Amino acid sequence: MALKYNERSLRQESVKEIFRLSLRENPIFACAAGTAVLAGGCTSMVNALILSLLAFVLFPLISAAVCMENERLSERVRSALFVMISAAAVFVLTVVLDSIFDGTAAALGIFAPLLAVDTLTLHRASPDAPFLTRREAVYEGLACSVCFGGIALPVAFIRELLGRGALFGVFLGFDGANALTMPFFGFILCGFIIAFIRNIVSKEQPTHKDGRRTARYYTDEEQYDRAAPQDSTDRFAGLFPNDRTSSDR
Amino acid sequence: MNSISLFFSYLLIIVFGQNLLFIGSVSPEYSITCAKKPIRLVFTAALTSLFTLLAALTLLPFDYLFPLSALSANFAVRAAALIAALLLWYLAISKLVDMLEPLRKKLVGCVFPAAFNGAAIGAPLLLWSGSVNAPAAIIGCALGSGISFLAASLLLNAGMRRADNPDIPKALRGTPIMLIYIGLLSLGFSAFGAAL
Repeated sequence: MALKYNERSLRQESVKEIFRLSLRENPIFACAAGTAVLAGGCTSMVNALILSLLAFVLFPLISAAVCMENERLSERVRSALFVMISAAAVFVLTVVLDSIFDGTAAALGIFAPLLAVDTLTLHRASPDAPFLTRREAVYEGLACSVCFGGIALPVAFIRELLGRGALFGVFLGFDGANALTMPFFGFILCGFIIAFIRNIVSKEQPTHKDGRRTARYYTDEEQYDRAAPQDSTDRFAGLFPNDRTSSDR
Repeated sequence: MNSISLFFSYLLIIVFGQNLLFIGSVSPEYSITCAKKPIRLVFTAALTSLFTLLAALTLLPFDYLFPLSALSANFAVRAAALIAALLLWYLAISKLVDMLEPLRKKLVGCVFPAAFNGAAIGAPLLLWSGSVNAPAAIIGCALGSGISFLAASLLLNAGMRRADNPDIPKALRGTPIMLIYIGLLSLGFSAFGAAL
């Protein structure tokens, strides 16, 4: 899932390529991160839009902060710092949105603060994150938020339509099945939507222009073989983060 | 209602309420790591209860003292205060754990997931939403958040071990089937929750 430290070719990849790779493999698809917020919070289109907006600001912000911090602080303080940044960002955004659209904070309930400390947000601060360049990190964050929105909106659409017989709070003239607004249906929908999206994006095998597959999709053994110089006994060359030079950032 | 029944009621409400959303689970990755040493899950659950209790107690002045109670009428302010309280407690407890060698060996890597998992955040906010500030209810919720974390992690672990079964259609293998499994568990919890 994570970028391999020794894969420098990725650092020259275009924005489109970074997006494509990040959409294929991100914490939502890989480890169901953030699905508690998706299943619980996305019961209406308005909520889904607000949560997507929060994610759109939050993920790149945390990614950029992680790159800028660059492991200067101790691990304990660093983790606290990222939580503080994400909580502050969510707080400011919620207050701003609440002042524009009255009742936003109340409508989101516990899901806005939960998003601030969710695995999906704090995954941006995972141990390999500082090894990304700032540009890569920000684009990965953006791609992850697009993915979040891409799941949140259809989930909310289906649940609001079938559960309440409404869209964007406008009653459509039929009663919905209220049980479908409960979290269990959100989880099940998320599962099917992720399967659908993954099925679409996995049909296209990501390759470099010269036909090689991109780094993330090599198995560990393949990574090892590729990293190993053919005519050298130093088979571990380039495999470890310390091999990076400062110019790689 | 006497204190004991209040304690158990809130304990069960939190266990079932939080597991509707499985907000207690930190992340499948952490659960997998802990599964190799299940005692770590117990330590993390105990710390989760401790953080929930401390956070709920720290927020009590927001219910009683005038300027704070006026401020915390806004949910966003209340949530920010809660996360700030958790941050301070996290820094204090992780410093304490670092200083004491026997604790450090057992709890290294557990403090952060315990402080910032959904259970520790969710329970105090749910308490506030219901205007709950009775000591027995707060202690019940704190214990309930630890138990809900433990239950969520164990259940997720059990599911993850089977999520890559080759009999599952390829498109659903892995995360999608995990989510469907969590959805069915959540349905079960909601049935119990409704009974409460």
